[in-house]
Amino acid sequence: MTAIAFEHVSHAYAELVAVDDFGLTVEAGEIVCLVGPSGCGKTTVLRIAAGLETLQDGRVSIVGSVVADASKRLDLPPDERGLGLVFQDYALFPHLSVAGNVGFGLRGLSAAERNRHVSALLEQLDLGRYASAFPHTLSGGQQQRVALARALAPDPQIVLLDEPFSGLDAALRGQVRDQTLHLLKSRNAATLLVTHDPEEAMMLGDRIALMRDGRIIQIGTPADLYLHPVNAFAAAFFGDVNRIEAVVRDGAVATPFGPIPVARLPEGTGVDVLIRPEALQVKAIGPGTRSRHPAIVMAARLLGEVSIVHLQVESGDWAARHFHCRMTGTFLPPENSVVDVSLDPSRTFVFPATHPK
Amino acid sequence: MAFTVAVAIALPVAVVTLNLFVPAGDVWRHLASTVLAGYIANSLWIILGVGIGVLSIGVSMAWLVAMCEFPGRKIFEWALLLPFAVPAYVIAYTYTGLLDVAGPVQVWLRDGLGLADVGLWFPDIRSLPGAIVLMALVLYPYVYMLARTAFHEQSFAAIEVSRTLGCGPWRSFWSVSLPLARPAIVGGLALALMEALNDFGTVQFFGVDTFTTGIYRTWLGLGERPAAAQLAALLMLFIFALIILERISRGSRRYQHTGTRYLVLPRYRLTGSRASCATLACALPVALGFAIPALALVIWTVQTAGETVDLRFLRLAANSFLVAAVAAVLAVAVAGTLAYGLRLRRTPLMAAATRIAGLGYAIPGSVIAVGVLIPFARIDNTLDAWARATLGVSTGLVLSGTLVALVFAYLVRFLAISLNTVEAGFGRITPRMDDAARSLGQSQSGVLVRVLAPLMRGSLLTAGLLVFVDVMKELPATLLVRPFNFDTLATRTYEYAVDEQLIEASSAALAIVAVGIVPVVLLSRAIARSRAGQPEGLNGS
Repeated sequence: MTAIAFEHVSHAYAELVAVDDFGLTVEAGEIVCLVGPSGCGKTTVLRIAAGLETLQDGRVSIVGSVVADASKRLDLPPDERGLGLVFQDYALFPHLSVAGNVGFGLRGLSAAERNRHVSALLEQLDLGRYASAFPHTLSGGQQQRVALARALAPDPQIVLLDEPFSGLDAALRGQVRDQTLHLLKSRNAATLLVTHDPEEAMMLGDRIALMRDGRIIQIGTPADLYLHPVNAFAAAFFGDVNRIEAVVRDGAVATPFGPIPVARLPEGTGVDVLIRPEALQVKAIGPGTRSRHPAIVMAARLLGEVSIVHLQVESGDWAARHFHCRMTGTFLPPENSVVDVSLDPSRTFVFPATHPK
Repeated sequence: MAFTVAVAIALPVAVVTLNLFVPAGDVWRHLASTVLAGYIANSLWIILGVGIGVLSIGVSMAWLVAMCEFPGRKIFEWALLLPFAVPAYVIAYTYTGLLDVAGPVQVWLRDGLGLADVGLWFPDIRSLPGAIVLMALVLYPYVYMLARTAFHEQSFAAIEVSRTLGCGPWRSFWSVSLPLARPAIVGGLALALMEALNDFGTVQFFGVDTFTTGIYRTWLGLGERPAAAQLAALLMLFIFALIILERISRGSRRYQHTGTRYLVLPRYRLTGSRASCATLACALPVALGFAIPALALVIWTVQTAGETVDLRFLRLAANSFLVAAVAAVLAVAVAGTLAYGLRLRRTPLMAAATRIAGLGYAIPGSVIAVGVLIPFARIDNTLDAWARATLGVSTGLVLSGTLVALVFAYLVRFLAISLNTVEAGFGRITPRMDDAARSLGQSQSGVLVRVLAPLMRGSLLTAGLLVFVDVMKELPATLLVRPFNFDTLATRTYEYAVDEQLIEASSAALAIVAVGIVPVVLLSRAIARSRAGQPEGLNGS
């Protein structure tokens, strides 16, 4: 069942077009992450869904019924949409206790029922002890959980989260993220989460919608976006890449680590070649041994479960460039040693060159 | 809704301004050829004299308490605000009572020291110079308050750099501190001069003819309403010049901060005779502007309490309290409506209407009175004509000469105070609060009642209190707009003074001064908070 659907939604602030012919559906129980660089319009999409921005063009429906339709001048106010919303700065009410905040959206319940509902939710989030505390006395992580509890308390069918973890420090973020994921999954609500952090999107999203300049560039599972990016921007957004420019010759492009066949591009096309660091696999070779694709180690560093090796190729057009290669486990060849490099074409992407604007 | 309210409040200002373009009548030509030159000359003298007076007192006192350390500095920091509590007409009546021929000073000189000819050489306080000195004594706190904050917030680095570059304290004051504080000082000057032009009680009592006395006389004495409206319109030109001056200074105040970090400046430690001089210099304006007149009022009140403090006095106080309380509650409600309207939808039209509605504070009470009475009379006449034509009865005056008109005039004049306070209160609450409450099922009015109002209880209370006090003090608008036989503490003080019963006026005047201390206390609390290491207006939370 479709929980929320956007059809041809456009939105402009004065002259600036923030959202441009945007379309997206989120199913019940699904988490969709809207991700993109700052200013790509993702927060505007969230605010339009919540009814906090007046819809200028297009249509929004929630659980099958239209809540906003620009052509019919229909736009339900936020209080009639029944959405849960978590803000980047949490926006907890400073004059209400934690229980008061969480119970704020619960109406039509007796006081006893409301209390029971609130304390059950607080217990679930390890906040039981803080029911009568005031927001400013809580830590950032606790405030974030109160904001989440407040949004979930009225049992919304759709939950919207705007950069909900960006206010937390790195150590806490992982833990709170995990807790949030399990809580959202257990409630079977449709979730639309806005973030600028690709790793966060991949960790939380069933699907990811990558936005740029107010449009969705690509939508799919995290694996789709990582392994089959539609363009250079998408490829670079979800992971490090080594980027080189080349030209199609005889149905292939040349790289320092061997040619890559490209069937779809006409002869002579200028292309960008993006090579993921893990596409480069490095083998140590003894002195004097011949190698098809030799490279010199400039530096090698261990980053926990992977090692990063910085490489330079000896000759040709790419002598001045250096490449990053990611190896699983501990692999630290000595500096200035010569290694043999092989290329995994499935982690290498070729796109027609985009002209610099 | 909010827009309608803004337009209604802006109406009097618009009515008076339009009178600039009304063709001149005979009375106006008569006024122009006889008294107008005198009005303009006196008003210009007042602007010049009061301007010099408030600048010299306000800036020097502000610099002393902000930059120097001397005995009593912490007390003077707030005590220098006390003259705010004394309306200009009260200080005028009090000093006249003290200094005129029959007053204690001349009596003591004559009888105590045997100087029989004292009446010949003793300066006459009831003169243009007397009015200028007395107004400067009660209006300098505007300059003092803004200049002190500006000196206080000045970047430590700018002063330090000037000192390391070889400027002594005196030169770094003239070359760094003063230029940096200039926008704030000019803003304070503009406010003080608006108040000086608003004054009616002092100049009327001293026989100095200005626009305000001219408007009063032409309206009530001659009954020439169009001519009075044109005088009011002309006075508005002076005010508009001051408003523009104030706006310009406010605009450039943004560039005033030369460093991002706020530090408490180490003060110049004064010792010996210089310290005593500083203490004395600060004590002088406090004594002349507050302590001496307040003491005189207390003594006279004690002397005359038997006759003046009676049931009638209680009724005056009740009247004052009633109109002030009603005006205060309405001013907060209207300010809340306008400010929330702006918060919901900041359209250029709405913003402009709110700005015009907030202009009232700059505009003299007598001008606002004219601007309220003209449209109200028009409405009354129309209503009366309609009722007589269709129902065959006369409705008489429904709005003019009623408390409705009076409260509306107060609202127009003092809305700006509540609007500024309420807007600042809204400004401290992130719009995410509104969004969060909306998404949790609250309507727009629900957000206001359940979230915003509880969060800004303090701002609303302050706004109401400030309006309350200003209404208690307001004289010219009350005199012109009040219903027949409706007396307040302010009008009674004025009437006693007009009858030369200055001693008898003291009890009502003292009540006004006592209420006037309330905002001084609020301001001094703001100062005390700022001393904790943060600039004024920024609360820790």
